[in-house]
Amino acid sequence: MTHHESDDRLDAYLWDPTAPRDEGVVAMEKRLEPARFDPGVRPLSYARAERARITILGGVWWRGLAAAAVLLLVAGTGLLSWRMTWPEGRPWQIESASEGSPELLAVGETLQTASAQTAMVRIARIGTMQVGRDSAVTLRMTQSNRHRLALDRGTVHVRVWAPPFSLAFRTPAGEVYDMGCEFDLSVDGPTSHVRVTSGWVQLENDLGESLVPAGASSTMTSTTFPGVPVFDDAADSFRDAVRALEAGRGGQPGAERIAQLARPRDMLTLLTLIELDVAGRAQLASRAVALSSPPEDVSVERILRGEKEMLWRWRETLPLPPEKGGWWMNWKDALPHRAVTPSR
Amino acid sequence: MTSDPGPLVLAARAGDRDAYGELYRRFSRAVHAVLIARLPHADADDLVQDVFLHAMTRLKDLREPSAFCGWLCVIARRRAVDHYRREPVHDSFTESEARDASPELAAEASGALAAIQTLPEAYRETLALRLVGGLSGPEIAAATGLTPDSVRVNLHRGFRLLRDRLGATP
Repeated sequence: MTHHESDDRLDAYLWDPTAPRDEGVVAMEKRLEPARFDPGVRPLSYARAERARITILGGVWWRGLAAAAVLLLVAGTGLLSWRMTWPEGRPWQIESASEGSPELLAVGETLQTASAQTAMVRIARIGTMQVGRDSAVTLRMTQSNRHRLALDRGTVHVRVWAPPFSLAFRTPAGEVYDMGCEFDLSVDGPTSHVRVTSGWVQLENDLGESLVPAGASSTMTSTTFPGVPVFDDAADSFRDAVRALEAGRGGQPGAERIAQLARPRDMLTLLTLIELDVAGRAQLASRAVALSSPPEDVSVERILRGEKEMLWRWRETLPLPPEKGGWWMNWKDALPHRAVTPSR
Repeated sequence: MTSDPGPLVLAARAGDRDAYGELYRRFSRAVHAVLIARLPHADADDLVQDVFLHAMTRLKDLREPSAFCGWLCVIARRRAVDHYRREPVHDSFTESEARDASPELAAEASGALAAIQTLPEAYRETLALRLVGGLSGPEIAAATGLTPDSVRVNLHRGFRLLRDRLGATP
């Protein structure tokens, strides 16, 4: 075979593997055979394909979700800012009242309801206030994040979703601050009564302050420490004994009765009573330890000696909703709600 | 591999796994050759599936189903470049990776592959497609987008150069 013929054969076989074989190329093919890919030995893995598909779909899904989250965040931030903003002194809207009643509640004005009359007031943009029968509520001040009223008599049902202390009522017994919540407040002469259904409410007067969580009620007078919170599902006998003890009545037997009736859910009530330095504190502390052990670094003896910080650390271990930082978790209070007639 | 893959591509696009499996059987060697022209043997083996899986999710983007092989080879080239940038490059293939081959044959194959990878780029892929992938000249033209004349030239010159580098006699 000439050199030219050899080249032709090489080219022909390189171009077409079915052409007459060129031994040099065949030798090279044979040499490279171990490197040849065999789809029979390595079939396409559909399990891998599914995972890849899911990953790719997942990627698309997550990108969409991330974009939606950003949009929601921007929209949410804008909405929240709008909700909390209120021009100083702008009157509130009275949404429903008897015919002839004013439609707006301006700063300095008092909304009075008759014995057969109620009214619904929009609290700036942060919530609503249902004013009960025979009530008198005065708007003292209104501006962004700070709305102040006075309830001289009667009842209100308040539902707000805003940072703590955005709304406060002055009552004859002391101040009542919302902490992002829903509650009933009633004023009967020198006594204020609070029943909380969502979040927390803080009661405050010259003698101290008390926090009332959702599901609990409390009573405050100007001459006593703001009331001890008692959960509404507690037995009447327990509630009566607590009220008597905090009013300075009942003494040691009263404390014994409370200790006897207390449930684990009443730990907050027990710890508040202990903080108030009422009669029979040692018995109440003993019962509290039995119901819910304090943290290791909390000493009951030191609590009884008056170290309140220890008591607060114990209280933090109770299964209660978060206080100031958790107001936003009560977002449901921002949703429309059926009208509630305040109870008295 | 010579028949038009268009109908298989259309069926695979509609979700027919058997059709895609057939495409894999027909074109996996071409993809492997494109990869092995650039990457170590072990990496090329693993990446063949990656290329097909990626292609499967992008089938809807393929405008001309008959051009499946060329399109697939473009994906393989990109995948090889990505892999080269991202992953540590392995040494040439080991005994265990050379299926059913003795250590001597594996070493021979490894040497030949290494020599192919040192060839100028124009010859490297063309020769790998022919000698490792077993494609014909027209199939290589379809896979690479080169003209048949260019493929002929690359095969001829590339093979001579390879033979010289491996020290073989003509």
